[in-house]
Amino acid sequence: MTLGETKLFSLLKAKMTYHAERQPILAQNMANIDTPGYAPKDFKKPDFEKAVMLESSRLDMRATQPSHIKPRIANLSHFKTEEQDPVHEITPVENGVVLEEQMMKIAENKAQYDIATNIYKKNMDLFKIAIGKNS
Amino acid sequence: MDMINAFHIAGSGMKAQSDRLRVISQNIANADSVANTADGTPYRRKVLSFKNVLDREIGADLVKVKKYGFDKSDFRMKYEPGHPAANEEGYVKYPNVNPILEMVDMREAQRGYEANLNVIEVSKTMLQQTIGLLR
Repeated sequence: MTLGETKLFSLLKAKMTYHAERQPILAQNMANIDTPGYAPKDFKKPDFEKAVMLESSRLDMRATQPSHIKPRIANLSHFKTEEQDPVHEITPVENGVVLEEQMMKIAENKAQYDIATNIYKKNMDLFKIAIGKNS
Repeated sequence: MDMINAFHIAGSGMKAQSDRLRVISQNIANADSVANTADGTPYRRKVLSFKNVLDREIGADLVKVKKYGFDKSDFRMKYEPGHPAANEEGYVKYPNVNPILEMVDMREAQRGYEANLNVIEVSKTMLQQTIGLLR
């Protein structure tokens, strides 16, 4: 079993993927603060166990000849995007994005990503100590 | 969606806000542009609106300007009988630009621009941290 397939690192990878994929969604909300008729989007509550299983069972198409076509799948995401009901307010042009709420989500997303990164670093340091390498 | 797409999305948001700022500055600069003759029309205030465009490569909605239009409200009338553009009653048509409204619009455009800039900063920091894991 490779290092990446241990439970800890699979979970961390799934968590980091979740936050890395959430960032463009939130960026899209932010870019549309003045667009009429736009409702903010976000992910549904994630199920990390399922995401770990999907992550390990996904098959990527390999291209060994120059004529093999690699599919351009832009939206291959394990997490479902949904439009949120505007809880706070809708402007007269029906834009539901609240700036403060989105900023808070972005900050929270980044903090969670930092947590995942730091846990990863600590564990890698532990492994390095175990194999006797001076970091 | 990759996190790098957050840059593209925020970039399109910034471009939309700066287009808006361009229109605002045009309006402010021409707030007193009257016609030369009595039957000419002065400067008419311009407005713009945003729309979402799905970018297939990224798989996200980018912000673009939907159209530039004109503000259909009436021109201001000022009593200046000696002006070359005065009509029979001595009134001159002035542009329908309200500088206070334009200033407020400008603040909003600035807020939108800074919000998108912040998104780019946060995404960049997250990416840098990820790359720092390699060390």
